Amino acid sequence: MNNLVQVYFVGGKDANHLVQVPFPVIIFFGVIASVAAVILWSTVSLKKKRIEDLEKELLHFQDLLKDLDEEAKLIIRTDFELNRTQEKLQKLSAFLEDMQQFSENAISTLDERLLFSGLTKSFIGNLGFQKCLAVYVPDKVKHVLEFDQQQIQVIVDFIQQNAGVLTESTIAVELKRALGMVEVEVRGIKTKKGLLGFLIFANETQDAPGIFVKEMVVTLTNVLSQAIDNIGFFEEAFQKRTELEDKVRSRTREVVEAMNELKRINKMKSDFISSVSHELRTPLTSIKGYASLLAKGKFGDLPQDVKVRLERIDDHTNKLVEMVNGLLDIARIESGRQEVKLAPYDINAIIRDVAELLYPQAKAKNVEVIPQLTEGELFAILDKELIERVLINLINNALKFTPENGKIFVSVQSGATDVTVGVRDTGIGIAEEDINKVFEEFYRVENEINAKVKGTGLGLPLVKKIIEQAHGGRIWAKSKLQEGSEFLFTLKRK
Amino acid sequence: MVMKTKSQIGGKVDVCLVFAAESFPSHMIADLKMVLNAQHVVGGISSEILCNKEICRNGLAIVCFVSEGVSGFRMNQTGERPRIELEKALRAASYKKFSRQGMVFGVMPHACEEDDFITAVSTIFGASFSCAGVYPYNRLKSFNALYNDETVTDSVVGSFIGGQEAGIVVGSTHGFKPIGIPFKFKRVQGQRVFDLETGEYAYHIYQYYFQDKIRHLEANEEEMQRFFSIYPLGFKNDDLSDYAIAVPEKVLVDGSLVLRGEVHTNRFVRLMFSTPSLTLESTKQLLLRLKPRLKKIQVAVVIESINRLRLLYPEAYRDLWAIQEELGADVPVVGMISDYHVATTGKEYSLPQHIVNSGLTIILVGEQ
Repeated sequence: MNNLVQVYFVGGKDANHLVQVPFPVIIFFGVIASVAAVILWSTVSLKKKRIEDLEKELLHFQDLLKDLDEEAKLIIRTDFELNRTQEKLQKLSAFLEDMQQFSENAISTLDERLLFSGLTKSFIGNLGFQKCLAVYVPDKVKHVLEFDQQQIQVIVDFIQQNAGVLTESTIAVELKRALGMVEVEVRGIKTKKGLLGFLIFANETQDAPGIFVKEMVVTLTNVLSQAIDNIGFFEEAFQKRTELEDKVRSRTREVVEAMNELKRINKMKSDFISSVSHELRTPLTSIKGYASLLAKGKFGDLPQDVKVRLERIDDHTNKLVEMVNGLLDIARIESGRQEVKLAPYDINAIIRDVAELLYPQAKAKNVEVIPQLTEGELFAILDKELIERVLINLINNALKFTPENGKIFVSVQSGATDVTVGVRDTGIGIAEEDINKVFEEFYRVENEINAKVKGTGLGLPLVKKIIEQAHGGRIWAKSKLQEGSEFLFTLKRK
Repeated sequence: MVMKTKSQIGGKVDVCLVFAAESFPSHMIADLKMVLNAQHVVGGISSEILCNKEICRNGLAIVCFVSEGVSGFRMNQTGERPRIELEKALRAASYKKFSRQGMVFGVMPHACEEDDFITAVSTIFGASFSCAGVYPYNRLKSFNALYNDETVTDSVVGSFIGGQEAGIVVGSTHGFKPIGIPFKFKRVQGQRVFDLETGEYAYHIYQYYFQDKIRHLEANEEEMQRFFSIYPLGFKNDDLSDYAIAVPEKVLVDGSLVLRGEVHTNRFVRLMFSTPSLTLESTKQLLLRLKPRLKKIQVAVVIESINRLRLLYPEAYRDLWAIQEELGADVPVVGMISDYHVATTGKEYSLPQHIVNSGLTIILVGEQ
């Protein structure tokens, strides 16, 4: 019985049936069970350790993931910052481009309205602002961008009260508060005349501030101030020029009016002289004719003293006719009624002819007329008859005022476009104060010769009209008392 | 289809693809059909055009096709749903013998949603049919498409490009890379995403990463759009080797996001970002993928989104340089700038089309 273990199975058909198991078997199974228990315990322990390890690893990975995610956050934020910086740089770059354009326009524009219109939304936007206002002290709004009417009023009132009192930065702080803006930048528009106004920039919403905003605002305001200065200078210069032009225009108008009046009076005078002269010539011819007939005894013999008086009548009538003819000639030239036949003539030949013509008078007075001509022919554009008259007049005049044994030089000089003819005498000369008056009608220099010799005072005025009006030339006189005079005139060369 | 020069084709052209810069005088566009002696003129007008290695602010870029397999179409406005109208136009235009071998290229100003376009093309030609649809980027917001001698704003215009021996390959890329931990959307209604699986509102993805750095942008819708275009969201599942991009259009007051592009609830969504070098690398990778599929490349039509150009700024032309360098100087490159566009992604993806918001689509036409 010692080696047997009684095993009872309880329940079932074989209840209470006893099975006898040998003891070694029981021992065997006991050992097996113990080993199994040990193995199980070891396995569970190992598994538990493994789970613990895995849990640790999981925690480690979670930490790692967390770290990686933190790194990802860092990367993405850095990337975001880089993008924002790049955007700002892009805006700055765009702003600088706009600024260059604005500066170019500012230099060239002379219109303040156009200048301010350059402050566009995109330009200001690239600077990092949404709103802009330019206001002149005390309350003149020059440019508005995106500010509403109420905001404008707030700014204008504030500027009106505080311009010149508060600093730009204080104004900016105060306006920021008053307008409820996120950002406000204020800069004074300072011209050479002083503080003109303010340029105000603002942002209503939070936006990424631009780079170098303050510097850019200063640059922009400086450019604007400079441009306004330029416009001011230009306007001032323009105003002065306009005033000057107005004055010149006014004076010119007065002069033109005076000249027109003078011309009108002169024409009236010419017309009057012409008319009177015509009216005088007919009775003068009759007087002269009858006087001549009476003097010749056609109406019977006359006493000697009557004859003498009739000869005087004839002399005076001749002088009157001469004067009337002179006046008529001047009037004809002045009014343009004188027919001028301009053609190329050899001036040397004309001078020679006139000198020959006047030779008897010169010889009678023992005065030598010396032509000083150029070599060969010298053609000038002239009316032969009128120029001969001029030369006769000038040489006769010289003969009149040149004492015996004197000399008269008739010279010719050829210029590039003109021919200058001069008649110089060795006579008594003309006083300096009289030299310019000799060409005036009826003016006679007071001297001993003029007192003796009667003249009409129309010779030199007629010469002047012929040269200047009929030939487009110039005539002038040079003289020294007791040394002689020279009359010079120009004609156009062929 | 054999590409020929104008002197070789004797003046007759079946379809002209015309890309016009918006500053190009519109009255001159009216004469193009006559000048080019073309049966159809199909084109788009965008702020700038792409021409070889340059982004041009003015002018035209023109590609002429001479083939029985090309034809133009314009969606007629009949008052029906745009998709139905587009399907009718596509059926009518694809009647020609070789049309089904090619692709459809459409310019869709304001008349048709991107889904309608994809559905219409898929319904008629099958899901893997190559296509590209462009919403031109236009600063002046005036006319943005042209068909024959008309400039249009409210109609889809397009062209089938195909023919015997013709080879057309379309591929898209965006160059964005995911960053940070993945999220999952919980509630979605159309393009609007309400919240995340974690219970936070959808906009939390952005707040989580950017925190207060974007607070000053939030009041300005334009700034936010620009921000989202630089940091869009990307979806990925096991079938996609790349992320599909969805750009948030706006944040609503409850923190939900309205997305442009495909929206998925069953996929992880991640924040995406890119750099100029990543962008350029994606262009090179796309070309390496597309080039071997054609024996000879004769022209490349490039559609580049404005967001991508912004990413590349100030060297926006770098993409074109990379394309020209990869294809060779003798391959003309023409194209336009899109606000966004849709395109076939290729057979390697389980989804036949996806929307390429901030991406680049290249259509290579040549011989197979």
